[in-house]
Amino acid sequence: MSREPKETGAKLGSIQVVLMHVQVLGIVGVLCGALFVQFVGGEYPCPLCLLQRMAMMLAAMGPMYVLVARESAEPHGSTRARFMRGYGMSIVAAVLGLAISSRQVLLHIMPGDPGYGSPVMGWHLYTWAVVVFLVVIVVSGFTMMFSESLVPRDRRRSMATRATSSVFAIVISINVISTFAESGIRLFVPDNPTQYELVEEVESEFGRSE
Amino acid sequence: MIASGIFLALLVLLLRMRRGSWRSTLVLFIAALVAIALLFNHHMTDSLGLSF
Repeated sequence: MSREPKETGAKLGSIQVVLMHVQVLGIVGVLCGALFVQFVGGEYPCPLCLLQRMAMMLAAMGPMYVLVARESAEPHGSTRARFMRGYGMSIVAAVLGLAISSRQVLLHIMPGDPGYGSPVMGWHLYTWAVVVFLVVIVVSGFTMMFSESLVPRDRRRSMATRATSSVFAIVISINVISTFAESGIRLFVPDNPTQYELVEEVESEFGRSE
Repeated sequence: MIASGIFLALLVLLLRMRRGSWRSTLVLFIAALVAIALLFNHHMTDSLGLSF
């Protein structure tokens, strides 16, 4: 009789492991959508757009931390403590992201304002970002509420976790390069970017030497 | 360059996390959070001409 709740907890823990992969890949998918709009749609991300991307990445670090910490044998608090720490990280990052995306929504809220960039499925990317950050906060809150049953008990190394973190690392790397190309050697990205500054700087340098 | 530096710090954070270095993970997480907040403050005050 006493084994039944343990088995249920183990099952819920396994489902939670799958859900954490979905959470990380969901945010990575949104970031890929932004990269698609940037490179295929030919739109330049503004400084606030880049800040929202950073906050989304930080929000995804929470479940990623829980997934990676699950496989570690090092003593850094109990499994539940690591679980709560990861989701705490997500909530803090999502609150910052929510502030940034709300700020951009308010910048373009006046009637007649066309907004920044073209809308995707009726909403601008920063409005979608508000939705993403709200979802992260709500999901993290509920996950913490039911953490006793949802803490993963399976400590086996998983290929899915490695693959997820590799895809995540690739998306961050693309952002490192594209943002450097956009800002060039300037400290800050221009408020309304219209070109990749690094490309222009290299072209003008070659133009001078010719 | 600051923005791409923060993205680079996030990449380092992920790699440290994968290596299992939890203390540096948390330090880098908080540092990235503060850097993003400061950069947000810079853009907010700059565009409105405000100062807090």
